[in-house]
Amino acid sequence: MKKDKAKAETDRRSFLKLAGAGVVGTGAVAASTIVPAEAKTDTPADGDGYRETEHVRRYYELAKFM
Amino acid sequence: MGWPMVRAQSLEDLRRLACVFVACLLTFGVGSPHASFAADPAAADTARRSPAGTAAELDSRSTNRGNLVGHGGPVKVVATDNARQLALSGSFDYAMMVWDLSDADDPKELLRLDEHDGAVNATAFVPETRLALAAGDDAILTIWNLDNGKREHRFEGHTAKVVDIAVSNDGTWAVTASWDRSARLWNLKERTAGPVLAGHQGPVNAVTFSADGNHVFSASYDGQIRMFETKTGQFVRPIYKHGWGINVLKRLPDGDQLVFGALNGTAAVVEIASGEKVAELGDSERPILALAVTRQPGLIATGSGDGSVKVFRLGDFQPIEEYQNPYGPAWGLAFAPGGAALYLAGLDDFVTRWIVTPREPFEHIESPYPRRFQITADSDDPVARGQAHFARKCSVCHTLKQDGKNRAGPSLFGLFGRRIATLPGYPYSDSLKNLDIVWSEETVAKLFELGPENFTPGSKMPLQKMTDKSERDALIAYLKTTSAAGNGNTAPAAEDNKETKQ
Amino acid sequence: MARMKFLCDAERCIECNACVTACKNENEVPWGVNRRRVVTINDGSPGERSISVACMHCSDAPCMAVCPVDCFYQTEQGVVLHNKDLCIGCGYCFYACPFGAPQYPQASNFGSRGKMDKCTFCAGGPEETNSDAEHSKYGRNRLAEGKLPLCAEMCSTKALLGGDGDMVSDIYRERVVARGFGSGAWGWGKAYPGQAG
Repeated sequence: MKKDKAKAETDRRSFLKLAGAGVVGTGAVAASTIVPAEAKTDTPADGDGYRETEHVRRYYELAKFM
Repeated sequence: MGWPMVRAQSLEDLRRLACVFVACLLTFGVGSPHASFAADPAAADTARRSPAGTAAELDSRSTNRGNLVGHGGPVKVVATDNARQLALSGSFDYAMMVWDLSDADDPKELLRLDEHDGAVNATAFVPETRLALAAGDDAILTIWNLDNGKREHRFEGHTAKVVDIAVSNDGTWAVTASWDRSARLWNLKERTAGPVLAGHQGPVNAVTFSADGNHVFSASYDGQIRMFETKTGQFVRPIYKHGWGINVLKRLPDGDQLVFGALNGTAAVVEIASGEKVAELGDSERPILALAVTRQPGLIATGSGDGSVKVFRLGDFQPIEEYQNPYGPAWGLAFAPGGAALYLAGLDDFVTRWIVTPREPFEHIESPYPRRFQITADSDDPVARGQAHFARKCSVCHTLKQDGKNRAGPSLFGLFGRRIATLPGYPYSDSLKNLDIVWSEETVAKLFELGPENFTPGSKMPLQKMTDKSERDALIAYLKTTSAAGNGNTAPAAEDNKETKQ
Repeated sequence: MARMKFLCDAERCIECNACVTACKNENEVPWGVNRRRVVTINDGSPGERSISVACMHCSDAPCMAVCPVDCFYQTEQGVVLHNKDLCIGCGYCFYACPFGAPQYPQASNFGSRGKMDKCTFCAGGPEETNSDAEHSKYGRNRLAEGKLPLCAEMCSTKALLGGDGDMVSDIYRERVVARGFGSGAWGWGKAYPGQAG
């Protein structure tokens, strides 16, 4: 049992490595099709809640490319 | 399994007959039956909006059909004893009640046992005896004598709320499930504490004994069902890993299988010996919160957070009936003696009896909605805002009527000028009786500014504060207009009608 | 207005528990509480999956519907928060939640009823924004600082996404198209009925 589980995990991780290798290709597709983040904002400058700051935009970009 | 199957066949037949009956009625255009399968949200919506009649009518409806009416807060659990035709119910109102079901259409309240210092979450009968058990938010397990209504014993040991009780078939052992992440065994004959069952990585939600009483099964928020030895408390082995937290667990009558319900909406049957899942009992978008099992006529019922109750046959685990209460969850379920009806506890102050078979084609939605603690209101008027605060934050435990209505807390009728812990008939905790407080605008404000644990230490009142002064002021303004003695108590009456009126 | 959502891409979660630890550190949560957990389903079988789960900040949240003392509220951006001063620890939300989000600290002073604790989407609570009171009761208010929940920001495989629901679902959809498989945004049907991504 233990062995099987370990194997399953390695399989998933190796899949991730593959996914990582494909980053350049995937990223290119993503970048060309997604509307630029700046285009869709009605962000309050600052305040209590969420707003699309530079920090947040960087997070979205990173999440897209990975 | 022969007999239950025959019986189940006849249930199916009855259902078919009922369907034919409904179909006939539909053909003749009589009303719209509350459909048995695939609850129609539109129909539910209509029911919600349709005029509900007066509060008195609703009251009579909820008592007419064998509901258990008498608690002063939402009922959390219900248990039945088929042979003796008795029921136990535990409630948010800190009490366990005992009911005589011998006339199923007109159940009688036998006892109201209110010595717990918190909601009663679990109740159980002790086989072969005239004893019943209760446990709840105060982490205490109590033994009650059903003949004289006296508390015979009080077991201490858990450090967080107790949410389930099981008793071995021979009546020797009880086991309790607690949010302190343990289950504990208690010897009911010797009145001594038994082993502590540890190892779960989250609150323990449910417990059950093996048929011979030699083993205990526990289910937890950590997603596991574990097996322990009763006498030693030794962990034997994990039975099943579900991943999602398990809320409820029962042993099936044949003794070889367990049925569980989980927070992701799964209800399933697991083989004890192999740990294999052998059947799934439907699935729900909302957590499974209640299970009931009856040997005769061989049925399992599940209750879900979305208010649906489903009934399955033992043996082949096929669904045979479904009931939908769109007004809130089904936390507690128990089969009525004979298995033709289910007692169902949810957010209401009463237990609903639902006739499983023969299926009634026109079922009233009996729950008043919104309930007194669910109303929403917004206003600029401080008194009106105070009224909404009272409804949403206080009314689950207090009323403003002279009659305290069995709520968890004392009535607030005539509050201002009353000395603390002096309302006749309410079981105050001892430490409250020694405090030198007279209720006034200032002292009520202090109670909610500092919290009961600081202003009235030892109180049974939950730790609750209102830190916003304007909210406190609004609440007090409302309490002053309604709780003053001599104003005819008309305003509180109007307020309390909200409990039952739409 | 942006609607805050979490999305866990079960194909990517490697059960590293970094999200769980990050949340605990960032919010200094009470003992015995994990606001975020990694749930492993079909443990040990070929269908094994891990899902990082916390409060999904549901539309029409079931916890709010059952609370008998009205302690929940939802911000304009969809974050479901609660007021620990009002909470009486009754446990109704614990059972109502289909994601197992509400948590109870262990062994408070008086045996029974601790205050419920749950994920705030790193958005604090009803106290004054970024005050000590807010921090000690509810944890960091990262949204007010112009950031996102730390669990999502820390996720090394970006399995856990958090932020504006439209952005998050766009990212996920692109990903599914690129890799050619994906089983839908996990839990969105339950949390946001009628608008699943």
